[in-house]
Amino acid sequence: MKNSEEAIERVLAGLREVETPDGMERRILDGLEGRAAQARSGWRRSMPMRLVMPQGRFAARELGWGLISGAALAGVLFLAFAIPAMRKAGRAPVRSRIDMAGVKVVPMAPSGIGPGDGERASPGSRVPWRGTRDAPETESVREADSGDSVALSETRAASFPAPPMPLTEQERLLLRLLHKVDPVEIAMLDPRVRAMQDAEEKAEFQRFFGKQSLPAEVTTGQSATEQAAPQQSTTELVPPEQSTMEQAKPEEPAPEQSAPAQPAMEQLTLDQPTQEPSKPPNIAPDPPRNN
Amino acid sequence: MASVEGCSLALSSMEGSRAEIDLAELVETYSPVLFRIAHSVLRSRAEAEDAVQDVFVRVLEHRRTLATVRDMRVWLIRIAWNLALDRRRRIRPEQFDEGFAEGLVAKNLPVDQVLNEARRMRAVLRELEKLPRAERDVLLLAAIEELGTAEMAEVLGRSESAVRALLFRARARLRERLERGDAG
Repeated sequence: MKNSEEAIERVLAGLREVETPDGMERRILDGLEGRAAQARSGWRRSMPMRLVMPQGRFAARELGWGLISGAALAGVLFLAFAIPAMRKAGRAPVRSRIDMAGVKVVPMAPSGIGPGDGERASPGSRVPWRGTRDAPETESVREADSGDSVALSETRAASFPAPPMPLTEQERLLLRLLHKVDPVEIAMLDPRVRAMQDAEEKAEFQRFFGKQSLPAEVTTGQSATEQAAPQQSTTELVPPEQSTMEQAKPEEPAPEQSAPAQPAMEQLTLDQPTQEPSKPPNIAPDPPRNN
Repeated sequence: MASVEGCSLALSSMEGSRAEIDLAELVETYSPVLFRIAHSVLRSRAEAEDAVQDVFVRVLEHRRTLATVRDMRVWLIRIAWNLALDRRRRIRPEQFDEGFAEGLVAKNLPVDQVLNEARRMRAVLRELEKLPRAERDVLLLAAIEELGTAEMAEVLGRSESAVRALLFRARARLRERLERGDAG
């Protein structure tokens, strides 16, 4: 019984007489000062703890420097938030007036793949990648220092596709064209539209000179009507779809339409002088007679 | 304590009183007893020091209500006790008992006696851990000898008579179990 009581007393005495580690108070105070400085840098007014200086007259100077640094910090924060907002407002994209009904829309990739996928899919609404700012902070220094856990988490992390490539030169030119150039010019990029317009111009040209040839027929006689007739026959016999389809090929000029038109023009210009020799005897004064 | 003379951290409570509490003085005054209390629970010097650090971090967090604390010593001891118990759930104090028990044995004894004494110290610590929780807590707090019965009662949230009864039962039970173990 005495042995057990003695053993209990020795253990309790050992717990009672344990020595504090050297420099424990210094380490505790250093840690507290670090926490206090960290909290002060966050929000000074909410942390009334201060480092007591031996000379009290420096308190006002410290307060002044605190106010100045606070104002400077507020200014920097204002500039950091206000300037990007003003730039963003000035660069608001203008909605294009072009009818995009015929444009084939490529479906977007699912948004869960990566953070930057939507950026490439819609060039008009580019959203800057802000990164994962709201990532959780490490709870303790020990967890941060454990390199094995970090390496393990990296190996187990899900793999994401590569970030989207920047726009190519052609894509940038196309974007500039879509937002700046006249819609008529953009529409002219379509070869079908361009061919139809060319066909209309040609048809109008031929219609105009066909009408012009009618009064010429009256004045010039039978020869002009004979040459204007085949021109009308080509436009009337060919159905409108076929004529436009034939004229839709700008590289292949239609020989049966353009070839007869030019001779008609030449005939019109050449026929007029043929009539003039009959008139001069009436216009010119009579030559003096030697009688 | 010349190491902490360089600066002092003053806490001004936000309540109407302008009394400033010097944190460095608090650390200097109470850290030894807080360390012993945490060490009695954890039996690890490093863990006990971390627990003491946490105590003063709590003081920083409760700086606005410091003026309402009646007994700073008991308040700090209660924080240290609870923090040590919380930390004890994450570590196993038994793993530190071997080194602590060897430190209790006198070094000038023969090797066989040193081994025998170390084994007995480990048995006492093991039986101490097997005691009912209330008895074990009272016995550990009483071992510090810096706390009176009233302070122990306030820390543990019990009456003084209950603390006395628990302390008596704890010693008797521990002695009985050790004798039974020696006989076996």
